[in-house]
Amino acid sequence: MDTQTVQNLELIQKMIKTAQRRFADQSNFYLLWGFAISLACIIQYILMKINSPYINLVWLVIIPIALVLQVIFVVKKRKTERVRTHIESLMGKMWIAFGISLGIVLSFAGHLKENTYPIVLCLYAISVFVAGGALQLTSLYVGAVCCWVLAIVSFFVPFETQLLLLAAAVIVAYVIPGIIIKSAYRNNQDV
Amino acid sequence: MYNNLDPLLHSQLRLAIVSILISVEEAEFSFLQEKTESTSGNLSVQVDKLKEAGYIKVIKTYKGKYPLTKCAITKKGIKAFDEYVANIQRYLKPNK
Repeated sequence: MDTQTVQNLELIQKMIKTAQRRFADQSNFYLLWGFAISLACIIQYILMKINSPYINLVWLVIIPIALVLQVIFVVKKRKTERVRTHIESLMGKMWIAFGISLGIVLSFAGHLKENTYPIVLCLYAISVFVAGGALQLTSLYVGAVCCWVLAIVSFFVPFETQLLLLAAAVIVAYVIPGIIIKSAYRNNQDV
Repeated sequence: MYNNLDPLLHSQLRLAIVSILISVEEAEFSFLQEKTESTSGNLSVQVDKLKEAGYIKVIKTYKGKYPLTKCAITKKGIKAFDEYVANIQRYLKPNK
């Protein structure tokens, strides 16, 4: 048997594994949106409890700030990334699709009324479930299941309670996995 | 019994480059250099050979003020790599 041929086969396997194991640290995105949405939900809940006339203002302040930070993170990531895997590219497209779908649902919240947040929770569940598959991260699967369960519960509770459920969902589905991803990346482990 | 192995890929460094590029969408030259543990001169020569064969495309761009070279595999490169791997498998297991 030709030794070089066998070595070449081993080389192919080694190089493919080397490239596929790489994942850029995307924890900032999970932490950013997890904290932004949970904070907005909790503040809106408090404003509703005190009968404030500015209950929707919180979203108009927090979401643009989060979007600006998102752009900064994307630009920074593009500057530092040396390789882009097919999974990362696919994930990018999935998040764009998620953003468009979320935008459409929120734009027609007037039609959906109190069904808006349960649908939003279902969208979160889909995105987090797919991300869990891509990153092979159990905490994201747990987050997705949590979003689905809370989506069902949300159909039966008033709007104020939906806000708290949404905050809880993003903490479980975004913040906790974000912390785990950051910690794994710092320890240079596979996530 | 088996087809001849593609001489362009039957070289350790060129095969390493193509194996990395088959697994990613695109990679910077410095990433390829680090993973293949090659010198920039040698890597540059092999990248040019693969580019001339149409197996990879080389994207010249800038990162800030500095020039940046990125590489990505082409459809022709994917086909050549698939055939190379299939030929190796036939070579190792001739009865199949």
